[in-house]
Amino acid sequence: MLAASGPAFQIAAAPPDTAGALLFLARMRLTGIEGGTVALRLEGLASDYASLNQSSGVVIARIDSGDIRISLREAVAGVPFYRFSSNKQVVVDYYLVRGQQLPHTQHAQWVQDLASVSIVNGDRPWLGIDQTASIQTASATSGMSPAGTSTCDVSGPGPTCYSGLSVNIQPYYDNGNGSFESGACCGPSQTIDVGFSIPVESVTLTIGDPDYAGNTMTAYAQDGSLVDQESFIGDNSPGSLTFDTKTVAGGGITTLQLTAAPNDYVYYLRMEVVVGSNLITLTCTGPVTRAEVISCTAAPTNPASTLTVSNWSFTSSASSFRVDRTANVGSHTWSGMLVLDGSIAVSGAVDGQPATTSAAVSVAPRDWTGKLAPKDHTVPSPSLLPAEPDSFARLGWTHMSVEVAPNITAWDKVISDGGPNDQFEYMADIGGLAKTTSDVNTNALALGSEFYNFQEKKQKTISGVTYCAQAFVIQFIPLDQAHEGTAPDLYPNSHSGIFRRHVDSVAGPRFERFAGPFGLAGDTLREAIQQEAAADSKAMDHDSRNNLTSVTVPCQFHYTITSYING
Amino acid sequence: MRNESIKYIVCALVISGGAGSSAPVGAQTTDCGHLAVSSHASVPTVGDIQSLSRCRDSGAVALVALWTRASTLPSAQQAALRYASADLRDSRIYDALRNVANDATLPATARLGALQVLTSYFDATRKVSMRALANPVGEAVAIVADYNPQVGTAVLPVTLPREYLAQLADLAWEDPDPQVRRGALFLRQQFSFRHPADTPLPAGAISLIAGCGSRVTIQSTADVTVPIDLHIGNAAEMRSYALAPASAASPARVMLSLPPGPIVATVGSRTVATLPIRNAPCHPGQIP
Repeated sequence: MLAASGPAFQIAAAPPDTAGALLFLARMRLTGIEGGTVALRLEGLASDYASLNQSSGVVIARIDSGDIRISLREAVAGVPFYRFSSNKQVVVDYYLVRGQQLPHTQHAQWVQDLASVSIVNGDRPWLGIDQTASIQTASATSGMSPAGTSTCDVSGPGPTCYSGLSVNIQPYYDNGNGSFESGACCGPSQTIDVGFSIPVESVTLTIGDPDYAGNTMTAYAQDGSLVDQESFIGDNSPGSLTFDTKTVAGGGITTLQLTAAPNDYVYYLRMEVVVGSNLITLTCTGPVTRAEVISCTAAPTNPASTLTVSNWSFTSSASSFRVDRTANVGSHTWSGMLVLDGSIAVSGAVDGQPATTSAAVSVAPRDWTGKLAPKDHTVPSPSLLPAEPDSFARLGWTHMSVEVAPNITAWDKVISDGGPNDQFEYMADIGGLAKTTSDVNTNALALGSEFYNFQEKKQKTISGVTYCAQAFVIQFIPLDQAHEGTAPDLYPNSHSGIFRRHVDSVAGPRFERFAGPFGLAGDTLREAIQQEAAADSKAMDHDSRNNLTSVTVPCQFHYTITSYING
Repeated sequence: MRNESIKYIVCALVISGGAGSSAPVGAQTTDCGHLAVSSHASVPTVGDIQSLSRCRDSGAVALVALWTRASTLPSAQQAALRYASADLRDSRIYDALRNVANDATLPATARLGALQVLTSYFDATRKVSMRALANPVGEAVAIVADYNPQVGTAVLPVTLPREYLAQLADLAWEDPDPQVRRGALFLRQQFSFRHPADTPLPAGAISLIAGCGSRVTIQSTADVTVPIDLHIGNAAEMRSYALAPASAASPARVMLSLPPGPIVATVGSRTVATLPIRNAPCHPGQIP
């Protein structure tokens, strides 16, 4: 046999290929003795002959640069077109002339009839990439690999060699000889959806005649998530038959989408499906909100098989924290609170064959909108600052820290349920206490204090410097209180107010997502928040939020001056 | 403008103070000589002690002398001594503080007070309260706004950070006084993960344990939070973890699933553990 006619006719008739161009069918190197003959015959089912006889299609046999044109109607009857004049070798190229009105016959084949002639070698691409005459059908081949994987060749919808695995292909048109395409005839191919009744590990597929970019094979899992995608390589040469084979893999594949490039005619053949690690089907609930219970159940992919579970394991997506199940490891279900995204794996044996599979599990953050850090604010009384300040810096200060929030058992939780995040720590509330101490130097800023008495009776300018009056010592107190934040809620742009607000703005999301094995340090989180909130607060000394400006402090105080005479 | 006007105030006064000529009529000056004398009183006034920080040379000498008898002073005077000492960063005071902190014959209050001042020497932006040192439950070392200590005439040594963290380790591990041990441990834990390079760790405190397949367990018996960098596969990949304070009796352990290859654990660029071979056996059916 030279070629299967179905796909060849489709391509020859498919736009936008150029009419009149030649579509290569086959090349045969023949050796014959004098008088030997070569004939071409188009062989089909009885139902095909009517359309074949009405076709205007033409096939060309090219020998020694000479073309012999044979109509399809002639070919149906069989046409001897070459006789050996001597003992020799010849090369015969067969072409289909494109753009003709061609029938679409699923089962017709081009057959070369030889008399006193034998084949040296040949190139018959329309018979498949391995140039064999037959393509295995679904039930023809199957096997269990040493690794416990099962492979099936699938050529059409229906049951496969693997018990429990059936295939649905939509749309589907049987091209014969194990190949299929999207429609009965002609024109650009449409997207084909392939569904598997059970998840498969990988799919290997060969595409026929991809001309343009955009022919893709996309694998999806049961939940619709993308598993893998591959692009077939086109040759950019309509009329030149090429093949490309690609594999999508990743496990859990339940749907395959075969998308054709725009205005391209393609067909498919040799779909090989591996039912491998998915001898076990692992189904997990979720996604869940952090700290909710997730449950994963393992079952044999083939319901008729027997699963024996030997181990369960969890690995977090971030930081790669690992948890091995330690109790009831043979259970087919693993449940427990989940606080981190990750992957759950189960291992065991299916009908005695070792098998492993895994499934992704994920958590969504809890809604902590409006959740605020606990606060602690102190104003020392009396002030801890000296009564005789030597600089402005001794008139007030603020201490800021993020400490461990009280009632630790209420917010610091450790999971102890034997589940995927067993012995993981997570936060049930904000675990940081925003602590501030704002001290205004009321030892100095007081009526009749030494500092008070040290100031000018009235505001005075000396050598161009304006010095404050004693009365301003008292007027300065509320300015200083607003700057340091003796009442943080009253002075939101004070040092303490900014610090507390900054802690509130970041503590919720960060404590919400803090989770991991018990043994990780949580003080780094508090320290980081403290550092950045304090930096925000201290930046106020250099920006416009609530600094003491030349407007709010229109004069300078006199300070105690150190004598260095005896210093 | 904003706060710059305030800085001008301070600067102008420091300059005028140095010149000794621009003080207003009736300006108050600090007589360092007088303060030095008065500091020898059996109980100097709080104000006199606080004022010593303004005398950059003689004040430091007087403060050092006061630290030798700090434990005999009333609590208000001790607080003033801590305030003035923190306010004048001078290596002579620093040496005195180290001696007081190390002196196991002194009461814990005086020694913790010395540690409080040493902490501000270690990081001038930080302030630890005596309450936190005495009962460090859930406490943190605060960050201070609006605080600018003065610099004494004897400059602090550049080795101070390393010396301070080493002293904390010695006190936390070996001091006979449980209050001092606890206070030192609290400070050590506060700074360990921000200064891992200078934080002493007991030998063998960090270990790496190979498990089946990709499993590796990091274990710490260190008494502080330890930031650990794992260099995997000849440093082709690095991952960082921070393990909580632990002990030999109750180690902190975290099991990981890591790519293949040898692993080197470092803390502050120091190699603390290695795992050159990872061929631990797997149990039957164990997921590698």
